[in-house]
Amino acid sequence: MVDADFALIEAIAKGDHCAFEELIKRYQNPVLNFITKYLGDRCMAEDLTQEVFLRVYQAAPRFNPRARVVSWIFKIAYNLSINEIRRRSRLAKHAASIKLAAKEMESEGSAEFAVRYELEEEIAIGLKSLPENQRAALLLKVNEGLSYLEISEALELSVASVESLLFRARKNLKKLLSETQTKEKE
Amino acid sequence: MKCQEVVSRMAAYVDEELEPTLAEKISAHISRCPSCKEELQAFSGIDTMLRNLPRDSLPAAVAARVLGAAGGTEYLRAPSGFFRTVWSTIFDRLEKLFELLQTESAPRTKSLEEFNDVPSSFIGHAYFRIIGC
Repeated sequence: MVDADFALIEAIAKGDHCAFEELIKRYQNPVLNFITKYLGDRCMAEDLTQEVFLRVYQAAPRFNPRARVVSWIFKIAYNLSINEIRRRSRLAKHAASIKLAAKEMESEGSAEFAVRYELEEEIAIGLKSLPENQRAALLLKVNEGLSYLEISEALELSVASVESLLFRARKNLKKLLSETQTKEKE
Repeated sequence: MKCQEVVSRMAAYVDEELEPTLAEKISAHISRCPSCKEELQAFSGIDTMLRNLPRDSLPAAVAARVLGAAGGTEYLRAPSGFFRTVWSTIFDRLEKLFELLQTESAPRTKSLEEFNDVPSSFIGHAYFRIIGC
């Protein structure tokens, strides 16, 4: 199968600015959303998204034609996110800010919005509690629609490992969410 | 198929990554097994919740910054073209001319009083008096 994005990478490698713009248009939101949910930090996600595309631009001449462009881009995004997690531990701060926002909305009387926000908060906390590779695999599959093969390339794992990660990620998330709901009922 | 087998492949089943024959077998099992059906619903429920999370869009300014930064890299990498050199020279000259004009139009002296100490015997004294009028 011919990778439709490969032509863009070839053009970028030759200094074609329009091709780079097109690639950004195609991937800016998927990359931003992956990093946002992976890190739980929207501001940092914007910075890292910029960094991802600059790296793509710089590394385009060295792109391995046998690799898939989508896997390569998400691999860069994943590696930058991992580095960020190791460098800073901002996730706890983010969870606190969501809680605060939910409380503020509740006090403003927007009950429906607050319930929705609470659910989002639970999912965000559940995601945060997952091991890093499970979280990445789940977001790439469910939110960004990558195939197992593409995820395996992005995370440098076998396809079987990706399946296993996705199975455990869902099991763990289900367990975490049901635990949270049980606690709330008590 | 046994439940354990079905559950172990549930992720790949939900993600439509299984061989069609195996997927059909699992579908058949799920249709008559309530516990596997429940497991499938739980997996699908997780996916739905994740998909319902708000999606962000990269602000246009951020994308523009990336393009700008990449353009900068390109400019440094590749020498400028003919037109860029010509325009750069023209702007450089215009800037110098503008600076010169500014200097010309600026007041050259604060007041003629600063020449008051020029001796009256000095020939320039008459000149300063004239332009002072």
